[in-house]
Amino acid sequence: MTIMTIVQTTAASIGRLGLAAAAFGRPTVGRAGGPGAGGRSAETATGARLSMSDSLYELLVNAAIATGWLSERRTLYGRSLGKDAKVMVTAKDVLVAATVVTGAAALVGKVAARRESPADWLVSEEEPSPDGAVDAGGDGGYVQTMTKLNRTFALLGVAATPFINFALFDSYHPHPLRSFFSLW
Amino acid sequence: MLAGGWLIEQHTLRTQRHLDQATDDAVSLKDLAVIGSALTNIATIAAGQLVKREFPQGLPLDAEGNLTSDASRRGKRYYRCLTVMKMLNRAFAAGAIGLTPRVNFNILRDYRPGTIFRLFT
Repeated sequence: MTIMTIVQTTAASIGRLGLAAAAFGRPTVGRAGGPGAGGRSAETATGARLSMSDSLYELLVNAAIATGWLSERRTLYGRSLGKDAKVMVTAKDVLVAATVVTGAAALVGKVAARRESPADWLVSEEEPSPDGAVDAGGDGGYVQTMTKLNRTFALLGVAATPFINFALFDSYHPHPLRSFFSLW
Repeated sequence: MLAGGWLIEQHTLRTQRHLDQATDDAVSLKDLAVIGSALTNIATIAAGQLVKREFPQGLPLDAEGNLTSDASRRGKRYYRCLTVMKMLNRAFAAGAIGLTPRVNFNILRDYRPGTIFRLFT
């Protein structure tokens, strides 16, 4: 395994992890959860710090998705792809681009809403209203829509990956000569 | 979902073509990650149920989700167990996702589209 291959594989892995993180939300590893967790006042007190780290996290996730996929598609196009594989790669291009754009839009919306009314934002972020029409001058609805779109595109991006893999696998011939002779 | 999806995928990979050694190793490595993820997931669920039974009110946690200092020894043990299981589960799931490109790039290395190669296999 060459260094180039390791770099390419690592970049693709980071991109896939980013896409999974965007699709399924931020992991809460350190928390045991359960009904005993947290009071509102304490949550609000740490809210600002958490929001900042949330923004950074989302920024990193989007950067990981974009760079990971760009690196992966470069590796894929390094080979002459068949028509079916090309179609699937293009479809994933669209989905990844949409994920990054909606992720960035949601992030910008969150930052703008937080600047306009930090107190309202903290409450709405902790307890989003079910109809999605809350708070901070209507920004909550926009942010929620963008977040939902972001998750949907990320999920579709994750779901599109096996189609590329199986399109490649369909023309996977590791030992063509040996296979040819084994036919006789 | 992860285990089910991988079970189908690895069955397809292993049965439809004769894999080369490197690809087979990559598939086996992902097998391990997925098995680890499934087992730790089951262990997390089981530990969660135990916590629910032992502590119907839930573990005494602070706002950050950490155990409060006045928690009992039993509570601390359950909390530690649950946290470790969750971390292991995340690590195995991340490993399974992260190892996938290795399988894919191994397949890509022997990707030979075109009618001529189809005739060979």
